[in-house]
Amino acid sequence: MFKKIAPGFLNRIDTYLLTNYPIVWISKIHYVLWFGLLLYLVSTLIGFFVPIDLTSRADSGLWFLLLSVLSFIISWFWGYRYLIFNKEKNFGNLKVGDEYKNFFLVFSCVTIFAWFASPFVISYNTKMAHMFSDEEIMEDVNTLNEIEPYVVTNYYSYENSYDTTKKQTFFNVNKIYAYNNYTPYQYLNDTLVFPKLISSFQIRTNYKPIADISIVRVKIARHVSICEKYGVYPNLDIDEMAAKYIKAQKTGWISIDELSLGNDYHKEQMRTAFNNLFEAKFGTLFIWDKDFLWGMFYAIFSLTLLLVLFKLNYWQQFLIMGIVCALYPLIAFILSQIFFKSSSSEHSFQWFVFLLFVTTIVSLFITAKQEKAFKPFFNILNQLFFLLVIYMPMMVVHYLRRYTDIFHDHFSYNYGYAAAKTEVNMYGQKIEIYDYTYYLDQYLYSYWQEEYDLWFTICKWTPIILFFLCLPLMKKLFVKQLALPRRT
Amino acid sequence: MVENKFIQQLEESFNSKDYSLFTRRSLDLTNDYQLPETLVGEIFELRKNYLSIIDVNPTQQDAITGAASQVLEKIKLQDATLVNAANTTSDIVFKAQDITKQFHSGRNPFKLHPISFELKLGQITGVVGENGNGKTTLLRIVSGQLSTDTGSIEFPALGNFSNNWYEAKNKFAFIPQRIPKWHGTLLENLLFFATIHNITGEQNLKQIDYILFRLGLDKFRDLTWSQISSGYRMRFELAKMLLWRPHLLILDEPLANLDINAQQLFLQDLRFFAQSQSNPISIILSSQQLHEIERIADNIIFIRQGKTIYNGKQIDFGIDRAVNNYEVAGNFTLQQLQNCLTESNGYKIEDAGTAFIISCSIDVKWFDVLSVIQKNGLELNYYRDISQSTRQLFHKDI
Repeated sequence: MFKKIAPGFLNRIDTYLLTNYPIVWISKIHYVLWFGLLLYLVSTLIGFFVPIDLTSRADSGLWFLLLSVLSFIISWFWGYRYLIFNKEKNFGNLKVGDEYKNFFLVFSCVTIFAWFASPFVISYNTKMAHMFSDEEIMEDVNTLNEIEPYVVTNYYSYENSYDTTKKQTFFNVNKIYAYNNYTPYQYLNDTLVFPKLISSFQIRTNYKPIADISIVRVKIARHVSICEKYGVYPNLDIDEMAAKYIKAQKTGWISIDELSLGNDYHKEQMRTAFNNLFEAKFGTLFIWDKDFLWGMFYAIFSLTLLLVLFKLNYWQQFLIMGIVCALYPLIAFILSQIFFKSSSSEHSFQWFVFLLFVTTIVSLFITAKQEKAFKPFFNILNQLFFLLVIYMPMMVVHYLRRYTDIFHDHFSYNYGYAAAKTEVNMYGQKIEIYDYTYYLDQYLYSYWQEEYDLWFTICKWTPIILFFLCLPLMKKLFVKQLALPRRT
Repeated sequence: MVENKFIQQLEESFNSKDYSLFTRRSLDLTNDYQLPETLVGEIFELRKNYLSIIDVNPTQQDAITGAASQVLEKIKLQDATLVNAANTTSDIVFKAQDITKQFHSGRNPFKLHPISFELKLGQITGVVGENGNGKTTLLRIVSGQLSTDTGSIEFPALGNFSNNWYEAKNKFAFIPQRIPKWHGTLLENLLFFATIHNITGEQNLKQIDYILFRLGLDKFRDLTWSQISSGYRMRFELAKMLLWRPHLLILDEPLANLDINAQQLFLQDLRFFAQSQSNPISIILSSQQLHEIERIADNIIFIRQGKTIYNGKQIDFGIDRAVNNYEVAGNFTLQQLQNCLTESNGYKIEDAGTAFIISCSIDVKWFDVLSVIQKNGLELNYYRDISQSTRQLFHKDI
């Protein structure tokens, strides 16, 4: 399929790789790079051409999903091509370093597929970020914040009170509670980075009730025009809204029954629009988020490992390993619930998983000694070991913190509360009092948190490094099993 | 110099105008000896021409006589050296000592009784026997697909890797009765197999050309597995295995899907490949085409119900026999045959289904039997001397 739609030079490269570098040829990295580049370009262009709706992120989410599904479908074609040609199952010549080459190539291909939608996200975000200048947005946010008290749609924006005798809520537009409603929450206090954004204090102090309806009308009209600039169309009658304000302003305390407040859905839309714009301009894209990147790494790594394991093992054992992976947590959970009940069941569940891992380690030594016949059971355990190995140390550290006192996790529960308990003599009695300064607690908490973070980092990186160091051994172990005669 | 035997064979095939054999053996020469590029090109061209002629009009074969003659003369004058002679520490590729295998499951538990044998480079071993008697089990053990219960297996030709199954399988080629499907084009698969066995670059392409033209498969190279017949699938599988020059070739019922001409050609080629000057191969194969197998095999293993009835050189079978056996068939009944070859004259006749097996004294030769049949006016259409064939070991099982 690739060949029919690929340019001539790529097919010539393909033939060259086929006759010289089978590992590279099998991975089809040349086709993946070429078509990946084209698809990334398409993904980028889609991001630039998809119309932006500032009041929602659903559209971009839909496109993101669509591109991810497309990438998933294309990756199946690649996966099929990758899997049908198998050097090890055909007992080809083994070369030192082949497994590194293979793992790296598959990892790269899977990464290209996995990130297929990211150019879309970047270009869409870039386009959104450049819709308005920073100054323009700041000015509009400030203007809307300042005008907000004159657009009476919500009595909570003002001083309000519930009269228990009349059973009515009264509010007073002459005194506002309104804060900077349109400033995105996460940038609210960032006055160092955004000094031009006016604070809630300034809004309150700047607010002057206005008795002249024409001025109020101008302010509401300004509110409407700014909203429309961002694609939000308020369903407001400017005269009616101005009249409401004047009535409320003149009356002072006014019951909400005397004044039907306007629809303020467009204000919510405006807040969403500013949130989106601020995120696009000043935020970090979710695809560059550290946790997201680690998540992607583990997903890509596991997928790569599964593909590599599939090629190095008989499909029957691979399938059973997959079923074990899917069902073992469930079985362990059920057993832990049955035998260890309620509070200790989570504890026991983790023990079951750890027990499986220890069993897989033992299986490695047994398999290494196999000479005469292939043993499917140990092969399954071997596969499980390599699949679990990069996660297990992290799980152990997490377990130790949660269920033992090694990392003194109790300080995290006490954090912010009493720590230093002392006894004082009061009225002739010894009374326990607590030192609420808790700085010792804070220190201990920080210390053990750092200790835990350190060990977690070690357990995150060490297995990855060891895995790569032991990659040739992994291959040796599995190709040996591939070649061993079977019992039936 | 090119070996005299080789030259003689080329001359014989040229004189008898067997250009199929002539061009095939000429190509083998390019694989075994270092010949000048121009001569190699001429030989390839000759083979191509031959294949294109027989594709269109097989009666026009003489059109290549002139070119063939020129090629023959040039070959005769060559001072060629062998290429890349097989680098092995022993000519024994596979050695089994008292191996056994037992299957417990199923309604009919089966046991392969102890058997010891060696497979040597340049030799062909035929495994024969009735259906379900252990031929495939034995071949699967040799190919490393099936483990043994007892006994030992070694690969002396592999030297340091004499008990390493991966290294062994890297040198052994196994063609099962049911060939697994190839994915991708046929050419892609051939190129891939050559590359993973370290035949890379230009050498790879040359080797593919050699094997495709040698086996007459060139016109199918761009097709896919589903586009060719089962007979051609077997030939492509053979091509795939031969192009990387294995030490041992294991074939389970390879003749099953081949027509009669293809079978003859296939077996003849096996003999040539086994005895290649530069890369001799040990071949072990099973088949129901008993007489064809016996004709090319150096060794025969006959298995009945898991027990080895005969295991030795083909020419040694029946050498110390007490009787001669002849297989006949024709337009007559058992009674009519018994009337002319009477028991009182020392003849015993067994009805073997479509033919009769005549047992007689070792002094009675084939022409004696024929003359008696002829004198009695029986119409004969099939006759075979099976005195030194394992055919006589087969029994009617129903």
